[in-house]
Amino acid sequence: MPSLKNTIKSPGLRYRNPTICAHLASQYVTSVMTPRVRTRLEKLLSVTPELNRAVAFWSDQMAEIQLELPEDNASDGLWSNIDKLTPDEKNHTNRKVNNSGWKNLLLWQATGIAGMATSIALALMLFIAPLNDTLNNIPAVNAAPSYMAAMSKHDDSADTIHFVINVYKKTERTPSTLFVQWSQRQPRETAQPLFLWAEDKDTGELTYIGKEPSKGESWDLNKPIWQTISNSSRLLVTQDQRLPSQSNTLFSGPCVQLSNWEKKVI
Amino acid sequence: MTDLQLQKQLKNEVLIKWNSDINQLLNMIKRNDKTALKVLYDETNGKLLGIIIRIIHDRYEAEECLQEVFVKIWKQADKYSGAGSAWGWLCVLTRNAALDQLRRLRAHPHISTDDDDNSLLSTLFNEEDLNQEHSIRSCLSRLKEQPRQAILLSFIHGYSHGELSAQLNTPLGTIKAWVRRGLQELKTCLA
Repeated sequence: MPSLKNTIKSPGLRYRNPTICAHLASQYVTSVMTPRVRTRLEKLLSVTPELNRAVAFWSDQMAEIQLELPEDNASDGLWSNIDKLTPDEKNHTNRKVNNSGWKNLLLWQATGIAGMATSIALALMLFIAPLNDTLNNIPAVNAAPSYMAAMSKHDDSADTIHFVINVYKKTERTPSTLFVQWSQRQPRETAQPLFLWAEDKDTGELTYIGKEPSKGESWDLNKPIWQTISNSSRLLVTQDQRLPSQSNTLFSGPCVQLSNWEKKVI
Repeated sequence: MTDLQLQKQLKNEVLIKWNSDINQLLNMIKRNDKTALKVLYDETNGKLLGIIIRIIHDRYEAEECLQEVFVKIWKQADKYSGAGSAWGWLCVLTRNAALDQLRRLRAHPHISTDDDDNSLLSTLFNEEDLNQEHSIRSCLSRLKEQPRQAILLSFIHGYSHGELSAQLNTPLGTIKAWVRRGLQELKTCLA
């Protein structure tokens, strides 16, 4: 195993080696490192993207296991302690309004998800007799998107989902946001930014949505772009900014409006 | 499409949705949205406390640690780079906090470590796992029992190599070899 000593300020090329990255990342995530080595590796993470990606890979794989293990709910008073220790200075004056908005949003989101789960269940019942237990384990999520597109490789006849594009409606304080979530089973193969397009559901016209922002940044949408997505039947991802064609289209998927489920359930 | 394939697809979609929601909440927390922190707490406190208790084995101390975790999330959400899922990031943050707390508590002998580890590990696996290629559980199922047990005890309970050696009554060198080879095989299987 390579030593991490004296490598933090200018990490050598060896920490970009995939084998070494995988080794260190697996040891880090499965916690078989000494505390000192772990601290050094954490400093190295911030300056070595290759290592950061390897840790993300192992974290995602192992985090799946944690979802299967027993939960243990915290005592009732714990949140109030956390609340006191996390002062909301920037938003103090808006908190009352914000909470009110969130309550409405949460109700809307929970209803939307319930509707979506119901629809999935109904669809499955048409094809298979018994519904499996998985449906009972759908988490009670609180941030449902308004539109969702499950993206597959453009030339993949099996329609394997590689990532999901979620489009969230604006709130009182935050703009409309687009969010890309890669599948854990089909991790991202390229570090190059992606370019997103929407296909109009009536005319088939393709409209450029924009270039994927840098990692960690949110993809905020202005009103015209929001309307373009809401009028689209399909989203496409290209490798460059040219109009989508057979040669430059990487992924595509139907864009589904989820807020309809809310109306159906109510 | 068979029932099993449909179940797998549905489970995969639920997992993607879960990750997407946690990601979204973390991005809101980055923008100082305190209510998003509360929603994240409501959604994840049970799972995160489970992770901590399996390492610390003391409810009071585990809740202290969970409190520290959420303060860290509030203050350090911008450290989440977006390279992996937010849930994966939260799990690593939580496990590291639990391991740090455990180290601080080592001088206190009141902490019990008498959980039935084997019973917990066995709940993770069943015969169906062998049919699901490239899933983490499937790949773990294919490892030999000893490396699998060493890796999971380390991951779930935070045992060091030395502690694994004592727990499994096996020489330290053998433990290190099990873990190293097990992780290599796991990486090959997941690739």
